[in-house]
Amino acid sequence: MSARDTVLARVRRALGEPPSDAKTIEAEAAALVPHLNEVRPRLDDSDAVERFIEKATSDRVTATVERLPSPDALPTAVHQYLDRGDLGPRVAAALPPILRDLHWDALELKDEIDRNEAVALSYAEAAIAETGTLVFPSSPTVPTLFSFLALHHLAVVRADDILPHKEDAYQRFVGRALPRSLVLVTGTSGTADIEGQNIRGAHGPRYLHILILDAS
Amino acid sequence: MTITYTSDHFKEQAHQALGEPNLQRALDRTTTLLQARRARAYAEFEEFESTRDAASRIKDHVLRHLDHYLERFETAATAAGCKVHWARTADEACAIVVDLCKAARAQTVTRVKSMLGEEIGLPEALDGAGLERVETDLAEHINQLAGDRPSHIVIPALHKTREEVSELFREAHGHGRRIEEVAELVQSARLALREKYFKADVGISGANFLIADTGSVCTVTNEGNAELTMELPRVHIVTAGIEKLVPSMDHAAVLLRVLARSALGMEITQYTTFLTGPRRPGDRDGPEEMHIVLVDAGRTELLADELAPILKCIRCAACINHCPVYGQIGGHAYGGIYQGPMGSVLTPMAASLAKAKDLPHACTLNGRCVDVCPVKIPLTDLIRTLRERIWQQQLTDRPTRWGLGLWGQVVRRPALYRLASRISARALRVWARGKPMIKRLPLDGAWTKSRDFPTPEPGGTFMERYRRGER
Ligand code: SF4
Repeated sequence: MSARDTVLARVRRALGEPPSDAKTIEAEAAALVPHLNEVRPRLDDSDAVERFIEKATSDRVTATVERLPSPDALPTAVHQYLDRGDLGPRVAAALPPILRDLHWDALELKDEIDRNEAVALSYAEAAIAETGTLVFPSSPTVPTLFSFLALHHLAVVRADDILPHKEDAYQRFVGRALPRSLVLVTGTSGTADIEGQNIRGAHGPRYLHILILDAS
Repeated sequence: MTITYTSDHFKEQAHQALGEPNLQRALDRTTTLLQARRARAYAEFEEFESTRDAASRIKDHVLRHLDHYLERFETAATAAGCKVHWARTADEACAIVVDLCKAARAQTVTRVKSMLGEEIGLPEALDGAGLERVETDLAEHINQLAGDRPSHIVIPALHKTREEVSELFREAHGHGRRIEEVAELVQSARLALREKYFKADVGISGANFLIADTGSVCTVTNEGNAELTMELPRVHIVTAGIEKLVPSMDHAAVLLRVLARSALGMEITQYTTFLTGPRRPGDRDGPEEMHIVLVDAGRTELLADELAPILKCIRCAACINHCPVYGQIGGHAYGGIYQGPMGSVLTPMAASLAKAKDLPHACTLNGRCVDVCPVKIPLTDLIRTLRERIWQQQLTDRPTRWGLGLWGQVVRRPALYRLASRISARALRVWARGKPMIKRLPLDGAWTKSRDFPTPEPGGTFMERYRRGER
């Protein structure tokens, strides 16, 4: 017997009863999460964007947030961030065409990311107000590594894409083919491995700056 | 590769741990912090109890239909382009991973610590195959340099103080400096490990959850090392226990909410990643091959056993952080991979009951672990069951057997028990000579070696006072 068949046979023997049919099992599974409000924090009526900002900038998530009136304001905002940190003009960018085609002339935007890149700019397709989380589905336009390699991570998200809960964000991707990697980013790379002290910039970004685009 | 368990030397190891001032300091600093953080997360999440209920029921449901979910996951993961492997034993799992590394002509392998990997002895197997193994979690990096085992399932270098880490990095990172700040130590490791991520041919990780309906592997980390390990090498291998399944991402969401809060007092970890298959056409990153090894290694045996609820464990370590015994002796005393209450139940599975016979006794049955377990595992009941088995299988040392046998005779006769406790309570008061705590118990010196026994109160035994209506 193959290892697969042995393990499955052992499981069935251990469970004893004959297996239920798939439909029954699925109905039972669905019944386990029927009242979503019992299994997640209730968000009072505050607006999702405000809650997101509050969470993302909390002392536990430690991101900084800037709200831009329209996508056109993005290049200037990025430029100012670089100036403030004296980071030079170079940015590794992973943006959808509509943002890539803005007027970036004052900056040096590149489509590849180096292993010790200083600044990366990438586009989050959604965000979660519950926890102040950005959602990055991998794609040829936005590769996963743009969220991990640079010391400064600048993330762009549209205000309309900020959703209340995790489940709302999953809903966007489940059903249609799930992206190869779906990464939920909440703040910066951190560790508490030495004496439980929270330190930022363990392997990934030390700084996360979120640029929220309001619809113009 | 089978790892060496030293759980049969528990008593010596625990005794030694009590005498190590560095360890005591590290334990004290960390467990206090983690308890406070969890308490805060609990207080801030009003729906914690109902979420915990749901989390527990989800895990029960999956175990009851494990065959269904395993097959469902295999189908979905295969459709996404993964290759799914099955392993009956720890050795078989290691052999599969080593063969995959050889097939990839790998020289350097990066690894994210997973408890299953530790349990099956994967680090030893990779070393044995002559591969350069690079542990990428900061704590595991420290342990690898020190030649230590993890002492805690979530904070594996909890036993190390910053001073000790500094000493290790000074040489290994080649800068020769004595770093005092924790932040600078982290930076030193960042620089040393970055090159390795790019050099590796194979990345090996574990899974916090396997999503049955999408075939995805879910990992949660704070450092971001998992993603660098999973994305950069050409081949990615996941090893996971068969109990890691959940029906869907919505079910995972429930478990994720209790996991991070219970482990570190966080609402969510910094990174939660769902991987569904290898690199797709047009992708600019991701591995070309993705393998998932589903491992039994004793789990199906547990499934048929009264101890089955331990298979619900999501490895959050809350029970460990709240265990007063762990808080005193730390992780290495347990002599295996798993520590504290969950370790006392899992080590007998991973090693053997005979090897681990002292662990279920290293418990005061105070029940704090049960109160904090996010999936409601009745840990103290499981520990009691193991104690009975140890007794039945005559694994207990002779003097203890003799003493417990006598005690058993006595407690089965209420009148005799009352008489005996009356006599011993009075005897102990005499022994204590008026002091509130007894430093050494007569006939049971081991019990009081590292703890004091409260002197019985005057006024007789509980039963005597109860009958007098005092209580
Ligand atoms: S037994 Fe419960 S509390 Fe302990 S690690 Fe497992 S899930 Fe966490």
